[in-house]
Amino acid sequence: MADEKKKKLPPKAQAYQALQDKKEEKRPIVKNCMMAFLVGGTICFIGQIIMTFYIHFFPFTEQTAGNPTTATLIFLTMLATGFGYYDRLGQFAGAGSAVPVTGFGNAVISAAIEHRTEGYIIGVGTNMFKVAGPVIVYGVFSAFIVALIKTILTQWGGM
Amino acid sequence: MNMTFFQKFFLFFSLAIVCAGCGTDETMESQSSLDINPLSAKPSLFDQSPSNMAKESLMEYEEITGIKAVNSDKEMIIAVQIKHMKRFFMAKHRKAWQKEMEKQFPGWKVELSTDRKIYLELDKLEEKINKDTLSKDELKKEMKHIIKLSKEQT
Repeated sequence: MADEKKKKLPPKAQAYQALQDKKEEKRPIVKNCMMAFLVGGTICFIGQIIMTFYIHFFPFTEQTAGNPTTATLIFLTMLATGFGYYDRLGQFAGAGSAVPVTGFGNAVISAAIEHRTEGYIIGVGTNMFKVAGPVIVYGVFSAFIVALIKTILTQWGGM
Repeated sequence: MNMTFFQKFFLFFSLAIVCAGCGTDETMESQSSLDINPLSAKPSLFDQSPSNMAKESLMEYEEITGIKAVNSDKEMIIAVQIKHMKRFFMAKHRKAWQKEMEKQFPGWKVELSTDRKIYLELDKLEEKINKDTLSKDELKKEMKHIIKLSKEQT
């Protein structure tokens, strides 16, 4: 579709596009993937340590230890975001810092910090879930769809 | 590529973890030592031979790396640890083993768990039984607590 659009452009614009394509810096995809893998993996590794800690020293089973682990990770992200470490990490980690639950925490907390000057209700209250809102909406929606499919399959499909 | 000290440190740290994690530990594999210690008979407590029998029959499965089991008069709790790569089929295995144990001990209430927490709790309980520091009521109470833990859902 993009190619069709390009053909309709005037020749000057096409020449400019060609020049831009040549000069444009290529995205280091492999490096980005590597960094995302390493950083994301490290965050999950820390999460696993926290989970093991909860299983060993608190009355949580493997089933239930996930909740306090998530809460702890989000709390740690809150501190890291507040002190400005998390955005520095995000600069080179990319998706590695955005995909785990810490990325969700960061999206909520950074928005809250950013809009603090506009007041606690109109500023923080309305803007806090600006970035994280879609995650919640589509997370709940897709969970509903999956649950619906599972219910249909197990109840009427005899699986 | 200009990397800050923080980035260099992080990269090194992550690579070290990945290398350490991906390396297969041959010594661990070849030893294949099962984490099982049979319970000794204590006259003041319930006879633990059903638990020992359950351990013996579950020992046959190569997926299992450790078994802990404790029983009262009509109840038994078994916790197993399975090989890391076999965890993908954990639910399937657990169901099969649970069925097998129920078949082997008809009339008993058998609970089989693959949960790490249950395993740790049973390990502590086994130690207490071997040291003979428990009464029958205390054992029943502890078992009730462990069963309640294993039933907990998020």
